[in-house]
Amino acid sequence: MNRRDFIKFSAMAAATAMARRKSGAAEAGPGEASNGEGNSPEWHKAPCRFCGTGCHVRVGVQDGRVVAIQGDEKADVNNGLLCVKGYHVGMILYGKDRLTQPLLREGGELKPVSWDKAIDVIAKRIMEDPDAFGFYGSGQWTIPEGYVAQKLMKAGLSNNHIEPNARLCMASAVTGFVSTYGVDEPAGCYQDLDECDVLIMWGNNPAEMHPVLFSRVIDRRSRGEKVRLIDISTRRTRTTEFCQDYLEFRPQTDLAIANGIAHLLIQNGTFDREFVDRYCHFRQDTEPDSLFGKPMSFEEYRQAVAKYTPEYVEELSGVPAEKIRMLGELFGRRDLRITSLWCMGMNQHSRGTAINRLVHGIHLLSGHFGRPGDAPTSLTGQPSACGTAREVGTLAHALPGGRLVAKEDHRRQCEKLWNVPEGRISSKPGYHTVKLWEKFCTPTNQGGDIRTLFVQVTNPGQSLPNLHKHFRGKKGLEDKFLVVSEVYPSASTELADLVLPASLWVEKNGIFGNSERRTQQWYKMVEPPGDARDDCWMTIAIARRLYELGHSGMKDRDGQFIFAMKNDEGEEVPIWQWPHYYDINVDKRLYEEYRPFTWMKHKNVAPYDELVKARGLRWPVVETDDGGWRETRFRFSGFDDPFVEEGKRIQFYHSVTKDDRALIWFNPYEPAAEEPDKEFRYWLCTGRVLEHWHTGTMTMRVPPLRRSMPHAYIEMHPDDAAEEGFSNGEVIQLMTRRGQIEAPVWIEGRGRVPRGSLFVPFFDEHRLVNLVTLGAVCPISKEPDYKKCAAKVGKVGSSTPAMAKGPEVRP
Amino acid sequence: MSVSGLVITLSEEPSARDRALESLEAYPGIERGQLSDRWLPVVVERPDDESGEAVFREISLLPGVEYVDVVFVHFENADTKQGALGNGQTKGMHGSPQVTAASNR
Amino acid sequence: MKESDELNQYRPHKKATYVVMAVILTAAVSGYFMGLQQTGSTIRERQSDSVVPSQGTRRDSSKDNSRMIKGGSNGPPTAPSYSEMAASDRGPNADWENDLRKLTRKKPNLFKQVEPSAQARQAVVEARRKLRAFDGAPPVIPHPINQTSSAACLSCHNENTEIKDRLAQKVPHKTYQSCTQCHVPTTTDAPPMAGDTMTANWPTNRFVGWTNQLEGKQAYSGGPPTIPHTTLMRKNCLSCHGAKARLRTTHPWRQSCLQCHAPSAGLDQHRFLSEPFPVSPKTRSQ
Ligand code: SF4
Repeated sequence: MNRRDFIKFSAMAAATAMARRKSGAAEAGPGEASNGEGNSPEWHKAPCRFCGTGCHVRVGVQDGRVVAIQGDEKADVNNGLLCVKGYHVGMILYGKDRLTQPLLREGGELKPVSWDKAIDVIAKRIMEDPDAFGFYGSGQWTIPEGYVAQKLMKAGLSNNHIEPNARLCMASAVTGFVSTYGVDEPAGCYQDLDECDVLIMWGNNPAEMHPVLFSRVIDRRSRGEKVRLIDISTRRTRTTEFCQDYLEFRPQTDLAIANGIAHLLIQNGTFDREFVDRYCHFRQDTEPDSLFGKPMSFEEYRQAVAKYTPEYVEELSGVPAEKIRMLGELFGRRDLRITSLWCMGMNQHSRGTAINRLVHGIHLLSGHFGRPGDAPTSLTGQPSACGTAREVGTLAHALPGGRLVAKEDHRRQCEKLWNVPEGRISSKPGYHTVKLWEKFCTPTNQGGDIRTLFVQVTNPGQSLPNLHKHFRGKKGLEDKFLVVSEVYPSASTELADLVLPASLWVEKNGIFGNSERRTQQWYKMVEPPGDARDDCWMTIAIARRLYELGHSGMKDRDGQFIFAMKNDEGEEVPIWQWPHYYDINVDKRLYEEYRPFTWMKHKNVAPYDELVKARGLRWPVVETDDGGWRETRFRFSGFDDPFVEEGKRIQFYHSVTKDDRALIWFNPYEPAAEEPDKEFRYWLCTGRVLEHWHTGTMTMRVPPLRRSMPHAYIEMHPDDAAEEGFSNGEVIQLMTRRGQIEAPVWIEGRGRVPRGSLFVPFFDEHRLVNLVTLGAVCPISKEPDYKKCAAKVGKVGSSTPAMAKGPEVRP
Repeated sequence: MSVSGLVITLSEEPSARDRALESLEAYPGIERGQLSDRWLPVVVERPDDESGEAVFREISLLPGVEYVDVVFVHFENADTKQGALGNGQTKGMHGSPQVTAASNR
Repeated sequence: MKESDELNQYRPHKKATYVVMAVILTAAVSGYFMGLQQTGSTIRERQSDSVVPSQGTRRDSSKDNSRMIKGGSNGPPTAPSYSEMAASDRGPNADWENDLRKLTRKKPNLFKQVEPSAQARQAVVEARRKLRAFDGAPPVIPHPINQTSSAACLSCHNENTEIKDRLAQKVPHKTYQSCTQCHVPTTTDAPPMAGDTMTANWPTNRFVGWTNQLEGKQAYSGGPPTIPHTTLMRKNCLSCHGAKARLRTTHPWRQSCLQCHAPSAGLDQHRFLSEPFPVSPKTRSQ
């Protein structure tokens, strides 16, 4: 320390001591036995804002600001542990460029307007052409937010063009569950991770993406327990480091591997004959593909998978035949408990439904189902992909509680519950996400019949595949109008015509539903900045303006406003006026209105007041004789699920075939939608990193996270890099048939790709990898494949100038 | 060179406090300490005594700032450096401020 | 000339050869260890290089040493290119990292009188705060790390390990396996991007983290102070207050800290449990 520093240090010490004395923090009087609680923040409970794990955090609030975060020791999900994102979640509220006022584009520039004007503009656009309106939300919508949007669209506007971004991440898991069990969402829960002997991760990197769950497994080793981890993947990741086996496969050939396991189970006679005889049927796809396919016999199934011998699978996938045999043998053992984990690797797949079905299939075929530790478990990437997108059914083809718009009886039930006239709900499914954006980006006179799009809680300008086609195409289309509700400027607000500032996380009341069917509630703790307001309020205010403009859909059967709410004294509260929005607990009322929808498919969510008391409850939650409420850990298992009939071990009570049986599917291996060729010789895979959550809108504003991972990179094999003449850190060009981006090469970095492969994370809005990804979707789930397309690389400046350059994003 | 340790009393209003913190960021040569409730310790370093005082006055006029207390002053002018005072003068040691001047509101 | 003849020729000199070889060996071994000793001081300068063993290095060096000598046996060896650096063999010192474990660890003197000045204490506290967004946040890592393995963390952090003037602090919580889940480096290990202004221009954050009180409260002068910070994830008091630690207690020989020093109910979760979720009256409305 030099002298100058010493003087400054002394000055700071003196000032700090003084400041502390003034704040009362340093007062330590004799005889005072209190524990210094004067300085302690007030602690509240909330689920973490980020991933589908759904950890509970304790939020420390002081003077109206979030000042600290702790893991909640009493929470079953995380037992006091968080990941680095969770520990810094409080900081997402305080990025300097929070949006604080509505902005309307005039003459190409976003200019501040009043909320009144903003709501008016949207309502008038809808009134003009109600069928050309689309609502695009997300798996980060709270349950009430998704529910009001759903009701506004389907029960109010008779318009089914509502989609969540969950279409881009969970749709294949949904179709996998529905076509196998007849009903969505995992049967098991996180307890499977505590009890499995073998954990198989299919294209999954939980060490970075679901870190708390991954720790839950590997920490068992510190307690002396044995658990075998198998990583089936296309690149080495942090997860691989902890695994006994690493099976590296050629992209898309997971289909062959799964079939290879099924073949071995039958050939070795080690499949669970009794389980299959009692609880399963076999299925195959029709031409063209359909959700429920057509039946096949066991013999036909046996012949279909017989082709997938270990040698043939090795030829397709590059995984040594003996490793395939090893998997076959493991599944053949009844004394082991086997859990499969997957997330985007299997879902974002041009055959996403098929691979989901196949993995469920090998678990059913081998009887590794229904006991704690024996489970096919799909994880979600968003905090309420399950709770909001899937359960509230904010999808173009769905209605709340697992219902479908195509089914007349489902529509009638919803119309009744919503108290709207019969026939109000349209029977025609709306556009799925990719279609919706394609239509929005197509000129109206060329069939682009979506003209106004309202985006809430998501960032399509960064997360849609092939952005040139599905987002940037909007540029210059005069009659298209994009409304974006956001917390920070993003790649989406860049093209928005109207930007609405939104409340974030604990600035509002909320309810999420995590990956294990757990519904979690929290209360508003701090005020949103400036003029930012709740997304739920925005939707209700728009509905009210439509009501005032005379839209007949905004009235129910009795002529009442569809979102009318009364306080405890029975007086109507004008919740569409912001100053009155928190006069009553709107969240609670919406949630209680939604609750009866969940009963038909036995997804009974807990009452609001029970959620207040708990760190989340896993549905079905049923009332017990003593008036308490009991959650369910293992669905369809007689020992735990209250809806399984007395005496039955397993009962698939929403079976497709209506006989309590699940379906074991056969789907063949098929090549990917785009594979490397002579010119585009690399596989390109995209994904996340530990520090950033999705498009980085929130986490890039958290300094510790940004400093640790400030920009995207291109992961490359050293030999490929040497061949191309790239050095580590060199900024290069990456090109596909759809566009190009520039980013630095990272060799032997966080993940390690095999030769001929590239990996680029998608969190960086300055290096938008989705400018180059493919828009091809799974034919059944309509979920795009972000994990596979063909790319080439070159020195900067080597590409043809005709290709679009990366974006300059800041507005 | 002049170094002073100040304690800034910020407004009780969170938004006004934010504004004050923001405008403080704009000042070069100010080192912020750990905010303690609404009292912020800072160290200001200036080439000479006069400009040190000017900063002090400017800070006290910022919106969202209620008081500025001086708890530590050290100055070392080019001419006094070699003079009788040798190593410069230091008034006020940590923990026992001798110069505490409450500014105007 | 047959091989045995060749050997025979040297036989008279055998003894001398042994002596020479012994001398060379001794010099090599001691030089190696002397080199090791310097490691501590140079650690901070080695910005671009990993302090801990890299998975890639181990994996590849065992397989393939040929990268090192590109020029073949005839020409002079050429240095590996940057793209090969991470995967190339480090030669005789390839295993030096493992020897961090073997560094002599001085037994601390538990009974030594240590009375740091208030200033020194303050400096330590300030240094700690620089690595945490708020009191109780997991500290960031102030050195480069191995991106793919956590195993190496504990080679230094399983005890308070002094490496020259740095102290690698003992993990104060139970050892979880995946260290990088919560602790991330302060600056990325990813290769820096030349002229990258977009990344640098990200807006700042106005979060103001909660800080604990510096001192606990005493019921009477001379009484044991209470614990002024949260204890979640900080169950092992000695990692920060032990004999080697920078915030050393005056009595490191005593092991049962909580016997005299009480944690705060307000800071820890106790009060939180009895009165489940305090909510402000405004949001509580039904
Ligand atoms: S990001 Fe996911 S794993 Fe991390 S704390 Fe939040 S919920 Fe838990």
